Amino acid sequence: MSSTSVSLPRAGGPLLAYLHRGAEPSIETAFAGSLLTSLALEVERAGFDLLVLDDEPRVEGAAPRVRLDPFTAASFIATRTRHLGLAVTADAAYYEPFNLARLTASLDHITHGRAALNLVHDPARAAAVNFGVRDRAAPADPGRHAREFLHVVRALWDSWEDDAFLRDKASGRFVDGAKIHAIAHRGEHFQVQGPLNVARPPQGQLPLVHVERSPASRPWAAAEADVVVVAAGDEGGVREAGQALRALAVREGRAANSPRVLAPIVPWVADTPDEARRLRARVAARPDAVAAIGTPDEIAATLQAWVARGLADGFAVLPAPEAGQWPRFAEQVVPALARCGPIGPAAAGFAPTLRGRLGLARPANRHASLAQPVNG
Amino acid sequence: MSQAIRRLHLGLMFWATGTHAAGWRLPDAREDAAFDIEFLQHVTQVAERARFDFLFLGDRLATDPRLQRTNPAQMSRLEPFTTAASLAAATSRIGIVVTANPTYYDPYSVARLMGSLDHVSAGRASWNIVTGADDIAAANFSRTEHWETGKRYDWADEFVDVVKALWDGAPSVEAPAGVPLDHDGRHFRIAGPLDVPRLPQRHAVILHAGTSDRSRELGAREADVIFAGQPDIPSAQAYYADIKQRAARYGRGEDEIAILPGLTPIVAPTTEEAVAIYDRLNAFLPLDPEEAAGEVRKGGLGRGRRRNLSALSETLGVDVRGNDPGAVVEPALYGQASEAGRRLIDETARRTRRSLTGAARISYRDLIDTAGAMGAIVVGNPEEVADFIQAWFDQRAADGFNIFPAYVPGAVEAFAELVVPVLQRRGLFRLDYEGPTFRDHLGLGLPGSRRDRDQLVRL
Repeated sequence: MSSTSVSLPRAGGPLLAYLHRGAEPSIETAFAGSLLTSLALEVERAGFDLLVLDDEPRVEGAAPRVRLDPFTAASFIATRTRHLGLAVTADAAYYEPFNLARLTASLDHITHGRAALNLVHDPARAAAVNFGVRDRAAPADPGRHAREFLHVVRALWDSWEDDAFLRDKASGRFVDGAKIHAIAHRGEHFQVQGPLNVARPPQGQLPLVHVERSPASRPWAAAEADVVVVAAGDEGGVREAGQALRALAVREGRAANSPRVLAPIVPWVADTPDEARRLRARVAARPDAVAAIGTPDEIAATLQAWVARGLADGFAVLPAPEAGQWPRFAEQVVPALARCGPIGPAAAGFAPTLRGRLGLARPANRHASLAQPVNG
Repeated sequence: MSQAIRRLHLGLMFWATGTHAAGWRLPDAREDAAFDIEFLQHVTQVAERARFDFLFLGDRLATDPRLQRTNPAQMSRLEPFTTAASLAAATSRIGIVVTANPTYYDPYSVARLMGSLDHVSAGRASWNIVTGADDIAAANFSRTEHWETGKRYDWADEFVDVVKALWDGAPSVEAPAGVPLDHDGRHFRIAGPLDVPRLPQRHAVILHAGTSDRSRELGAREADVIFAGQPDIPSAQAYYADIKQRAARYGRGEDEIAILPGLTPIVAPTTEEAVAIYDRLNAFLPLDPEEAAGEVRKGGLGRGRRRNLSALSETLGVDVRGNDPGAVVEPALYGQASEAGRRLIDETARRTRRSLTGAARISYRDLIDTAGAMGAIVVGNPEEVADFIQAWFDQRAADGFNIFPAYVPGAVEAFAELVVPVLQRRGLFRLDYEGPTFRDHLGLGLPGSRRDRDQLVRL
């Protein structure tokens, strides 16, 4: 099983800087469609399974920190790519579950089953200053709020059975009303009647991605996520985080290989190990990612060994903030990975959906077993 | 006022099964297109090749299986923002209109969604503001009740204000960190600035539709395009004049706000073929059971106007229940009918080319079909359809139309191939786009910031 992902940086980040060959785009043109397209195509051509579009709906500090809304970006990118999975980030505090269910289900249709959801909740509620609505109380416990939110979204995704559409021109029957289900959710935070007004997503349920910032979110990830990027600064940290996550997941009654664990890496690639170390030494180490330093073959061998030893199922690649590093990873490390073992694009094949590429089965609709034959 | 030549504007309303309730049942029509993004891209490209101003994505926030008889296109469909971004990736000039309902959104979310769409589309984004007519939507958004009109518009007025102010303060070359908003209003408290860079269009194009006083005011003040629904020239002229007068009170010129009624063109190379399509579409529609007088239901999600002799009797002002719906109408009915009833008969004759006295006679069923359809409909050959459009345009009942394709893709292709060239030949419609952005198609410059404009109005 193979999973590699890369985060979409904000304007001014290393990847966009590379795409401009060193010339920083103006803040107002950083998100031109042509730039997004070249970025996405580079990631797709490198054989990545998933592009994670992160999000935090606010501007921090004086430096320009701008971005696109992830749904419009993902849908645009999807239209210019064919295989790349696209994970959208959304903070449960700033959406209505009905709206988020529509956005995600639609993105899954538009991508033909390549969408994933990274549902987050920020305990500090830093973006709340942009979402102040009178008479709307902040949830007492953002984590519990997010869990109920996800429960509602997943129920809405299932509110249309796969065979709800009849579209019979002769009889004029367009749908089978017995296969369209209200969810009638009455919870602590939400009251949602349903059904959704979007057909069931091609993947049935979108994979849930989680990017750890700290171990605090591990219970959420163990219970709900399909793919987890663990937060760890070295090999030992990845092992510990992965084991802790899987142990919690087993207690939640999940299969032994759930969720998929991705190790975060910053690759530093050079022709010689010394040169790679020299490049790496120029910038401060990140506490939340492992520096993978060496020649293309060395890095590929290291990554393969981690997978072979069960340390990780794949990698979340955070391109090094240095011109030329991303293309070296894409053009030299990825082919080396494919040559020498179980991870990389050749192993991934071309499963049509992201679930397929992640080795996840398409879940049955929760209502399918209840279906009764209906007439009229 | 400037003497610039008035040009017609055309939008395309996209409903995946056609805007006619039975459009999907025609043999060549797509019945399974709602979730086929490549099909939506194809239709948008057809409209772009015909130089349409925009493609219009409507929206609703609830569903009901009963819509399958009255409006299957609105039962379920792709969410409009994600759809629009994909259409933007597959086209380069046509404007893209997204319907978003402030009642069930946050201003910051709409500002960034629209802003992002304007970036990826390079200046082609447009927001159709609706406040929601479906009371059952409230139940999907943890609300105990659907807000009444006044509250919805109070909320929407402040919402639009905040969105435009967020766009004004978005990070730009001159102000890379953006300008904080610090809005502290009746409904919202929003710090800002927006985290999406300044929009290529500065403000997305604003659409609005509605007939209530509050909605006319919102449209006259904020909208660049008004989507109207009047079925005939006199009512459309009255609406048109009213909106332009209201807009003038906000210091806006006549050419700063375009009024586009919806229009369903049933067009074919010959009149006879067009009438045959119209009849065929309506023949698919079942009749509803009759009701006792006074029980006729109208409108609403999942309900629709009743198609029966009871509802027809109300319109005519004459009790025609008990007749065979397929029977021809006696000529005497015209004299007995109310004014609305006579208009219905005249309209039926105009569409079907049948009459109360000629060789081809109008039936009760024909009248039911006319009454059940929404908005303006024209049935005819390309010249006849162009005549209809030109008459509305010249008489200032419209600045153009939002075209409703009764079935897809056939009705889109027929209009693009048969009618658009006639309109172009007559000098009414553009031969090529005026520029790359939606604002360019509408002849609108970049908007001034809200603060500047408010000061002007106060002066």
